[in-house]
Amino acid sequence: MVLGSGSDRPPVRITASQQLPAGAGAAATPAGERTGPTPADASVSPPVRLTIPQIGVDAPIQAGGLNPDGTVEVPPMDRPELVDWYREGPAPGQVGPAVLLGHLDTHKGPAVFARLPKLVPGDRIDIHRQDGSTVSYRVRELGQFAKAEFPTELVYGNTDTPQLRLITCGGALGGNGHYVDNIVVLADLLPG
Amino acid sequence: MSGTTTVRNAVRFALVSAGVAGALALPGAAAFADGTPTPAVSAAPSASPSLPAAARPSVSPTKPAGTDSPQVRTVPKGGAQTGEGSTGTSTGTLVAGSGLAAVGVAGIGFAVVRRRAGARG
Repeated sequence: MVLGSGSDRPPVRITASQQLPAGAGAAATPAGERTGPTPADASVSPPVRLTIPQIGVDAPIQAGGLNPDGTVEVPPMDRPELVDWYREGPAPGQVGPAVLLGHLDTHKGPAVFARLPKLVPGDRIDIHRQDGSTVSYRVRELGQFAKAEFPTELVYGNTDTPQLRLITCGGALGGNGHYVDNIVVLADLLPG
Repeated sequence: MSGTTTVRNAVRFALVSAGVAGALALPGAAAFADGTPTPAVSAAPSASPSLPAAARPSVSPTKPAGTDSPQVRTVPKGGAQTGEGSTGTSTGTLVAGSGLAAVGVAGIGFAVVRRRAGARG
């Protein structure tokens, strides 16, 4: 992981919770008109590394799944440099929402997605895959949502095109020591 | 004798008539027997479609099989716990900070009141 210093860019204006237009990130497809390969398409190579030059991210990716309580797994707290790819969804490059998760911080300090809120629309995201290929995305928008009202359909719903979601924490800290919000970056695949 | 002749003439006439009739019927008979295929009358539609293109059924299905399946097989519950708060501002910190600020203001006010009282006295 490299948490680069980066330039002093103006703070990003994150769309407030519930203010993203419905289906904005998903270009959501009506039920019954869904296209694209199934999640477990073995023909697509899994992601191994994430680079976001604008915020100095260069991090390894590992596959993650679900916790026993049904919530999404995140990287271990003692590995703040890791990014998790949610393997129950599409791989980067496939049609659908590929989901990557990383910590904003841990008790040890800033983590891999500490500067994620500083992304702005148009920034480039590169994902390197196990077969040596790279797929690139362009940030479309950012949103901040209360975890209690997490936009499940927006993040995990079917899409017509290959899309990417980066997820980290945001907002204030709750009494349980966790942030009350999630920050979600929505990005679209760039032509290869 | 004339009776015999009459009979013979009748037979000759019959044979000639049969021969002429056979000669006339032969081409038709050949049409059934020469093995040459004839255009068959069929109920099958003509090769050239009579419907306009838009009215013809599409060759390829509009919705491929199996496309109704979700792209994310199992959708997680809720959000993600992607932070422990070492860099954020906790509500506890906010409360404690506000309390300290209030005590500080009260102390300053108390000091001012005492100073004024001392100046009068």
